[in-house]
Order: sequence, then structure tokens, then C-alpha cells
Amino acid sequence: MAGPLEQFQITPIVDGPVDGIAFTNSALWMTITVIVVTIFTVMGMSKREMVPGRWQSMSEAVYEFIGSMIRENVGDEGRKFFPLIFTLFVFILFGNLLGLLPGSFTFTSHIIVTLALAVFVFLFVTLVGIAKHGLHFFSFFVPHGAPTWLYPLMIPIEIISYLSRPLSLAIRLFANMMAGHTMLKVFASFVFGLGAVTAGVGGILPITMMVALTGFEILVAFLQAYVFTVLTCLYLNDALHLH
Amino acid sequence: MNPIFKTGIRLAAAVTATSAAMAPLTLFAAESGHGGGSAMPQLDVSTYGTQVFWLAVTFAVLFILMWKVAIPRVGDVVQAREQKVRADLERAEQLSAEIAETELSVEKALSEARSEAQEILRKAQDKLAADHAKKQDKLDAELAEKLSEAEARIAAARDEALASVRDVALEVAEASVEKLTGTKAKPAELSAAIDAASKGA
Repeated sequence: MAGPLEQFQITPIVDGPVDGIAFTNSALWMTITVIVVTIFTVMGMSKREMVPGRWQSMSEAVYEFIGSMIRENVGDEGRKFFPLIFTLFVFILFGNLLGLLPGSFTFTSHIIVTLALAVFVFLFVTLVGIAKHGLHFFSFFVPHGAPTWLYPLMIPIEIISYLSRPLSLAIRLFANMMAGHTMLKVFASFVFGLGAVTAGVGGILPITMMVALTGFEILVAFLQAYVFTVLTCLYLNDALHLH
Repeated sequence: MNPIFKTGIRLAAAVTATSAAMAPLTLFAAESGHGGGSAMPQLDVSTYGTQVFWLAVTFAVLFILMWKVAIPRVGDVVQAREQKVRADLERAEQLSAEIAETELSVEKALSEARSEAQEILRKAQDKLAADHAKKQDKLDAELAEKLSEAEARIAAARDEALASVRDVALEVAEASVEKLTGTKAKPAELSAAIDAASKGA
């Protein structure tokens, strides 16, 4: 029986042209995510109906969802970042959801992937802030209303809290995905373990739990994609409007 | 450790070193990484290079696909629908304004017609009343004429009757005198007696 952490094993499928960039199971599911998202959004809209069918409704719902998220959290200035925020959301959402398919691989359960995404978001947002406000951007770290003698204390705290953003963003997504999948695997092993010694009867309870947990994991998949995206929007708002 | 990941370690180290905030994690990962891949595959630094590389590639491809293909498509349809809804709403508003206007004019026409009808009715009533009065007057006159005529006729008949009463009285007196006395009374005496009697009556 495979251990609960074995599902996170990265295994190369095809060697890359250069060492270190082998096409792995992780890369395969990233590619599948890109294909599925493209099919979902592009093919869903192929009929361009005035009164949408189910599929078109879903693509439009995601579009409207991200649209209103940006409107509410960033404002009109956030409009030009729509494609990026949209891509971020669908990439994480479909990565999480496809990872729930039995036998698939969840690339968002790897800290390096979530960290790379979070650092990308962090750097992007910081660059947007500097591009808009120039050096004035760094006034973001100066707390409002605090007395001047507290600045030596407050400014380092603000800077540390700013720098910890990508870490919390990355760890939240990674930890949620990893914990959920580990738990599913543990319960799955209970189904076989208990079932084998009790002629199948003992497997009923853990399999019921697994059904419930799978539903819960689908919720988590949505929720974590939403949280990641909404926090990106909030950071973007900070960078654009500085407090 | 898989040999194809060897370069990955250096790559990942370079990637993770970009942010000072990530330093503790890199250390942690490196420490666990030495224990072999069996503990937590997430901490196997040798896989970081390929993961970051393919993440960058797939994310970039998806971004371009979404930006250039998917989002404009969805946006077009959503916008077209919004425009249609807005146009329909505007048209509905315009139509309802037209309806209100029409209603107003209909009501105006209706009230005009009603007052006109009332006017006609009033005129007809007046005319009718006038005609009636005229006819009544005529009838009254006719009746009065007939009445006076009848009265005259009655008076004539009475006079005649009264005159004939005198004749009858004369005859009765003549006959009764003759029966009582056996002699014929003189007509002059008789008429004088009757005149006297009728005068006394």
C-alpha cells in the first residue's frame, strides 16, 4: 500500500532538452489544466448565444465573477489587470479541481508552485505600485497617524508584514491542498485496511467519510482559488491606491 | 535522487533565493531534502526547477490564450447582451411613454366627446321642453275654446230647455184648467199666470 504522501511524488515522464526541466506528472497536469480551461472558456462560448446554455452560462459566470471581484476590490483601475487575475483564478481553480480526479496529480499541492505564483503576484503588484507612484510608493510602509518617534519600530514591522504576503499566500494554498489530499488518502487506506479484516463491512464508514470529504475538498478547491485571487486583488488595490 | 533533477537543484536555489523572505523555507527544504524523497515530496528541492519551469510555461500559455482568445469572446457576448438589454429597456421606456401620451389624448378626446354629448343632450332636452310647452299651450287654448264652446252650447240648451219648460207648463196649465173647470182658459191669462209663477219661483 502506497503511503499518503506518495501521491505528491514528482515523476518524470519525458526528459527535457536540458537537465532539470523534465516533463513530469506535475507538468502534465498543468498542461491538462491549460487545455481544459481553454476548452471550457473558448468552446463554451463557440455559439455566442444571446440566451446562454449551461456551458456558456458557466464560462460567463466565471467571467462575471472575476469582473465583479475586481470592481469591488480594486475599482475601475483594476480593469486592465482582468486577464491576469482571470488566468490566475482559472489556473488555480482547475488545477485544484482536476487534482481531485482519482489518479491525477495536484500541482497546487506543491509549495514551490504556489510560492512561485505568490512571488510572481508579489513582484508584479510591487512593480505596478512603483510604476504608478514612483518612489512615493514606499510611503506605503509609513503608518498613518503614528507618532514620528514610533517610525523606527513601525516601518520595519510594515515592511516585514508586506514581505510576508507571498509566504502566507503560498502556504495557505499549498497547505490546504496537501492536507486535503493526504486526508483523502488516509481514509482511502482505511477503506481497504478495515474492509479486508471485516469482510468489507468495516469499509463502509471510511468510504462514507470519503464521499463527504470529497465534497468538502471540492469546496476547498473553489475557496482556495477564490482566496488567492481575492488577496491578489487586495494587494493590487493597495499598490494602486496606497492605503 | 533522480539524476535529471540535478540541474534543478541549482535552478531552484536561484529561484528561491530571489526573495529574502523565503530564506528560512529554503533552509528547511534543503535540510529535509537530504533525508531522501520519501518524507515529503514537496521538500525535494531537486524537483523545483522543472516545476517552476513548467509552471511558467503553462501559465504563460494560458494567460495568452485567455487574454487574446477566451476573454474577448466572453466579453463580446456579455457586452452584446448588455447592449441588447439596455436597448430593449430604452425601447420599452419609450413605448410606455408613448402609451401614456396616447392614453392622455384618448382621455382628452373622451372627455371632449362626453361634454359634447352632454351639450347635445341638453339642447335636445331644451328643445323638447320648449316643444312640449308650445304644444301644451296650444292644447290649453284648444281646450279652453272647446270649453267655452261647450259652455255656450250648454247655456243655449238650458235656455231652450227653459223655454220649452214654459211651453210645457202652458200646455199642462191649459190641460189642467180645462180638466178642472171644463172650460178653456184664455191663452193670454195663462201665459201671464205662468210668467208670474215662474217669476215667483
